[in-house]
Amino acid sequence: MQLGGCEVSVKPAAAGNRRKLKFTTELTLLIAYVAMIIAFSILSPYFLSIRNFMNIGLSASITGITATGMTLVLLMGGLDLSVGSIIALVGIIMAVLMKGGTSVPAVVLVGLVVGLISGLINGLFITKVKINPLITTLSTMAIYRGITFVSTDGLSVLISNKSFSFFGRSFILGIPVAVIIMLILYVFFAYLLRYTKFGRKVYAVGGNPEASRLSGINVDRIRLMAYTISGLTAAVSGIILASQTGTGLPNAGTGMELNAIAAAILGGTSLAGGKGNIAGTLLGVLILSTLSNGLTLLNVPSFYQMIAQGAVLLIAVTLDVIRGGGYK
Amino acid sequence: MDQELCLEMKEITKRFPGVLALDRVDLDLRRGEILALLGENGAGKSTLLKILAGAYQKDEGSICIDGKQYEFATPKEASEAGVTVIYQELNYLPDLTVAENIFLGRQPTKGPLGRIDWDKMNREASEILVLMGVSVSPKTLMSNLSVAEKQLVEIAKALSKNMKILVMDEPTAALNDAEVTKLFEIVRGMKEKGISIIYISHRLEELFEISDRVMIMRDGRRIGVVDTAATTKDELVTMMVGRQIDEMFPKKYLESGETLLEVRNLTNRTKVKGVSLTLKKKEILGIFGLMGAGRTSLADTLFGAEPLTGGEILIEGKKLNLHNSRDAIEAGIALVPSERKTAGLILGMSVKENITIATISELGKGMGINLRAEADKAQRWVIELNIKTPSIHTVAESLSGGNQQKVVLAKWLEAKPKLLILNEPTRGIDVGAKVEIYNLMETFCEQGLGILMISSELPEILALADRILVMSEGRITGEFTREEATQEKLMKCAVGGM
Repeated sequence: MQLGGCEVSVKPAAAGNRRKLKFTTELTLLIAYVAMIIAFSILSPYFLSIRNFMNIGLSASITGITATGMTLVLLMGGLDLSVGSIIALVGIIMAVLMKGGTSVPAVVLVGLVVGLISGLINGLFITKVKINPLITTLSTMAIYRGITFVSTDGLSVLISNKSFSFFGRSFILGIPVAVIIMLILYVFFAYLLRYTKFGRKVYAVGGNPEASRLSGINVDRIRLMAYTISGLTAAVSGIILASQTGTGLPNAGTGMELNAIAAAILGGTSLAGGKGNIAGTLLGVLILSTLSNGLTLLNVPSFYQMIAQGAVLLIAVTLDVIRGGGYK
Repeated sequence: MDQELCLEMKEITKRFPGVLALDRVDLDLRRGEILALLGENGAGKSTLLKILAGAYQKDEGSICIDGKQYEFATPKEASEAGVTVIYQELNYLPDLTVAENIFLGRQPTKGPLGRIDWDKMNREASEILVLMGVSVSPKTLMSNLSVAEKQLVEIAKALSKNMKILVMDEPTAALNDAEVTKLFEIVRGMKEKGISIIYISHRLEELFEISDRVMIMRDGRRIGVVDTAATTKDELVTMMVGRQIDEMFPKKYLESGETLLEVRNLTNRTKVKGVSLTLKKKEILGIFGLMGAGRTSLADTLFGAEPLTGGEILIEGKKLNLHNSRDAIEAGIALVPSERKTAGLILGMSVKENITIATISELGKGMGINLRAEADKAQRWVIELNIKTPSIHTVAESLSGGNQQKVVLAKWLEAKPKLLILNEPTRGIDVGAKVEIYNLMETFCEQGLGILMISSELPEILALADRILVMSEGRITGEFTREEATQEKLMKCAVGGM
C-alpha cells in the first residue's frame, strides 16, 4: 500500500538547479573576466603587470567596500542611495577634525560612528516611519551631501596629517592597505551571509518578508541592521578615499551608490532581494574597474568608458535573463 | 451524441530534467463534449494542457485538431487554432474596462489613424455578455468585478474569438454556489454550440454534474477514461489514488488531556468580536465558517500577528502577552497559514532553509549556524513527513503543493509547539497528500499536541475534529461535539442562523 502518490512537481522551474545556476553565474563572470584580461594584455603592453593590477585593486577598493554593504541591503530586499553622500560626509568631518588637531585613531573612530549613525537614520525612517527605502535614501542622499557643502562652503579641506595616508596610500608586503581592507571585508561578508544566523535571516527577509515575520524573525531589526552596516561600510570607503586624496571633498563619492549597485547586480544579486552572494559582487567590482583601467590604458576617452560600463552591465543582465529564460 | 473527434492528442511524452512528466498520454475530445480531467497534483494534467496551449513543447507525440496536425510553438499559435485556456490565476488588466479586456490587442478601429472605435467595442462586448446572460456593463473596470465575474469576462473573451476548444483549470475554486450554477449554465450553453470543453476540478461532485466523460491521470500516465453516467465517486477516487476511499479519513479516538488553550472574550480591531474557546491537549478543535467569518483573523491574533484589543489568551493557565509571532512561538504556538506561497514559505529558499527558519536561532551557539546539525534536522523531517523532494537543497518553489505544505508543517513541528493552528491545511493539495497530512495530525495529537484546525471543507472537519466551533461575523455561533455535528447544522450556524 503506497501512501502519498504525489511526486515532485514537474514544473520546469523545478529540479533544484538554483544552486547550480548561481554557480554558473559566477563561472560566466569569471570566464568573462579572464577573457577581458587576456584581451587587454594583447592590446596594451602596460596592462599585464603587478603594478597595474595593484592600481586596479586600488581603484576597485572604494566601490568594492561600498558594494559589500550595498549587497547586504539588496539581498534583504532594500536599496541604499545615500552611500555616496555618506562617503563625502565622513571625509569632511574627519578632515575638519584633523585640522583641529585630533589624532588619527580618534578621527577614524568618529568617521565610522558618523557612517553608522547615517545608516541608522536611514534604517529608522524605513522601519519605524515605514517610508519606502528609495525615497528615504534619496532624501538622506541629498541631506548628507548638503551638510558637506554647508559645513565647508563647498570648499575642500586639506588633510595635513601624514600618518592618515596609511589607509589609502601605503602598502603591506607590496599590497595596498586599501585592497587588504577590502579583501578582509569580503571574507567577513562571505562568512556573515553564508554561515551566520543573521545572514540567513537577511536572505529570508529578502525572499519573503511576510513569511519571515510569521516565522518569528524580527524583520525590522534585520532591516535596521542592514542599513546600519551599509552606512558603516560607506564610512570605511570614506576613510580610504579621504586618505587617498589627502583632502575632505564635499563632492567625493558622487555616483558611488550607482557603481556599487551596478557591481552587485552584475555579480548576480537580485534587485528584488533574496538572491545573490558576495563573491559575485567582488567579481562585478573587479570586472568594472578592470574595464575602466584597460580602456584608460588604451587611451579611450572617459566618456566612451561610461558607455562601455553601461553596456557591460546591460549585456550581463541580459545574458542572465536569457539563461533564466525558462524560469518564471 | 456527435462522435466526431475534435481533438486528438496521441502518445504525448514530455521530459523535464530528471522527471518523466508525461508518458505516452492519449487524449481525445469529441465535438460538443465536456471532458473532465482528474488526477492528483503532479499527475501531469497541467503539463498536458500546457502542451495543448502551446506553453510547453512536447518531446514526442502528435496533436490533431479537426483532423489537421499542429505543432504549437507559442500560445499564440494554439490560440489561432482555436484553443483557449482559462487558467486558475486569471490574466487580466485590472485598470481597463471589461470591453477593453475582451478585445485586448484587437480592438475595433475606425478612421485612417486607427482610432479605437469605442462604441463598436462596447456594443460588441455587450452583445457577447448578454448572450452569455451576464449582467456586467462593458464599461466597468475589471478591478471592480468579483472573481466570478472576472472569470466570465475571460470566457467572453474566448467566445469573441473563433474558439473550438476551451480548457478550464479549476474554474470554480473561488466561486460560491450561485456563481457555480451560473457558470455551469454558460458552460452547457457553449457545449450546445459545439464547443468542446476540457474541465479540470478537484471537486468530484461538480464533475458528476457537468461532465460527459472523465479521464483519469496518475504519475504522468493516462489511467483510464470512463463515462460519467456509468461511474461512481469511489471508482474515480480509486483510479486517481490507487487506493480505496475509506482510507481517506482516518480517525483515532484519543482521550484528551488537560486544558491547553483558553481564550476569553477575544476581540481585535478587524474581525473578531468576543470569541471564547478552550482546547485540550490531544484534541483537534475544528473551526468552520464561511469566507470572511473572521477565522483567519482569529488565528492571526492567537499567533501574535494581529494585535488584540480585548480579552485574553491563556496557554496552560498562563496569560500570554503577545506582541508578535516570536512571542507566540516562544509560548509554544505555531501557525500554518492558509496562504502557503505568500505567508508559509520562502519560495526561493531550499527545503532545508525553510524547515529551519523558525528555529534558526537555536541552531548552534553564538552567531554561526551549525550547518551539519541543520542538514540532519531537515533530512530527518523529510523522511518523517515523507516529503517528496530530490534533496534538502531543492528550492521550495519547485515542490508540489502537498509537499510544500509538509515543509511548512516540518518548520513548525521543529519548533516543538504545544498548540498547532492549521488554517486550511489541505487547500489546493491533492488527495494523496491530504491523507498523509490527516495521518500526521493524528500522530502529533497522540504525542500531546493540541490542534486548532480551521477549514472550509465540511467533510474534512467532520471527519477529523473532536469538537467543532462555527464562526460567523466574528463570533462563535455554534459548538458541536463530533457526534452531534452534521453538514446541515454547521452550515446553518455558518450563515448566521442559530
